[in-house]
Amino acid sequence: MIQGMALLVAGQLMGEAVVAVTGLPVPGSVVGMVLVLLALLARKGHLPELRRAGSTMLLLVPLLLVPVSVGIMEQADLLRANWWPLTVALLVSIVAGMLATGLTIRWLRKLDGKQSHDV
Amino acid sequence: MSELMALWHQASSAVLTHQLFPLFLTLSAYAVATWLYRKAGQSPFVHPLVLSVAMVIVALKGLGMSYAHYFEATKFLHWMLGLSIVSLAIPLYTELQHVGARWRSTLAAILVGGVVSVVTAMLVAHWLGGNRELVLALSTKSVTTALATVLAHEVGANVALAATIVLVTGLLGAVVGPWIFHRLLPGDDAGLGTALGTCAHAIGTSRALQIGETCGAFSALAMGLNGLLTALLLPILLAWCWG
Repeated sequence: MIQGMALLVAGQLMGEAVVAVTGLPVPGSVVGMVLVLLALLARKGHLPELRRAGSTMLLLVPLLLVPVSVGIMEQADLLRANWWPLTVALLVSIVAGMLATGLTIRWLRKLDGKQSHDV
Repeated sequence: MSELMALWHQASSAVLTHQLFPLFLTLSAYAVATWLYRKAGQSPFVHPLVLSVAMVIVALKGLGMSYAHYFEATKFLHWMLGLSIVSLAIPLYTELQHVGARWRSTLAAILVGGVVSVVTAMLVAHWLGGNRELVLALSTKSVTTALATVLAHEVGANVALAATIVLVTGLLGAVVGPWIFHRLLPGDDAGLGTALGTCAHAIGTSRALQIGETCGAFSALAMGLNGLLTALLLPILLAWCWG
């Protein structure tokens, strides 16, 4: 567990180093995620300590999000001023997003079928 | 009697001013919230994050404690979010093994769905007179909250607002998403999972898991890939659009 935690922290720190060196406009933790994904692919998933620590971290996510989310109490004025565009934007976006995803699958489904048929 | 009152004040101020008190508040609110979530049959309406945030806000208001003080004392929980983003590599690796023959349509759907949901949200908010702060906070709406807060910070958006938008997006998606998708492709569980993960991140994924294992697996994959693509492309696109 502790070994796995150390690997996760190492992954993020390496990601931060990559971001600092390359100037990529991406969070270091995202680069860290890619690095850990590459490590898992290289080891064919055989990183048991890392997987144990990672699963624990993922279970804790809602708890870790509480401090920043409580910050909404400071945003009451902003929400009151923007509730109409915000509500409509969220409703339109969820319908458009679900339809776009579904239509893309419906449209490209044949492509999958034919290709898997050829192989 | 007044001596007892004095002792009570002394004890309570020792508790309330201790730097661990905000952590205690957070942990106990979260414990109560997860208990209620299980009691309610894991309904997305009583998501533990929504409940515990509401409880903490009520407690802070009641105690007259400022958000700045609370956040200062619970900051280390916030720092740990980076590690949970790194940990997303694990479900992503597992689900990559399962896409199989559907990888073309799945990847294309994630890309199209991810772009459409972000762009429509930003455009609609802009047309209806939403200010720049609102439009920017919508840019991270369909990635999982942990990633959205880090990304929002990166692109200079209001982090608390972005986190709230992500939460509402996830809840909306979990509630109306399956209904919309069934009009288009009834019975396609893998497709529904892809759509839920792309448009409604982790909350959509927990809904997908209730529908079935395939649906959940595709949802987890879509959430991971959409998050990764958004994280890589959004800062570049925003810099390009807004200089």
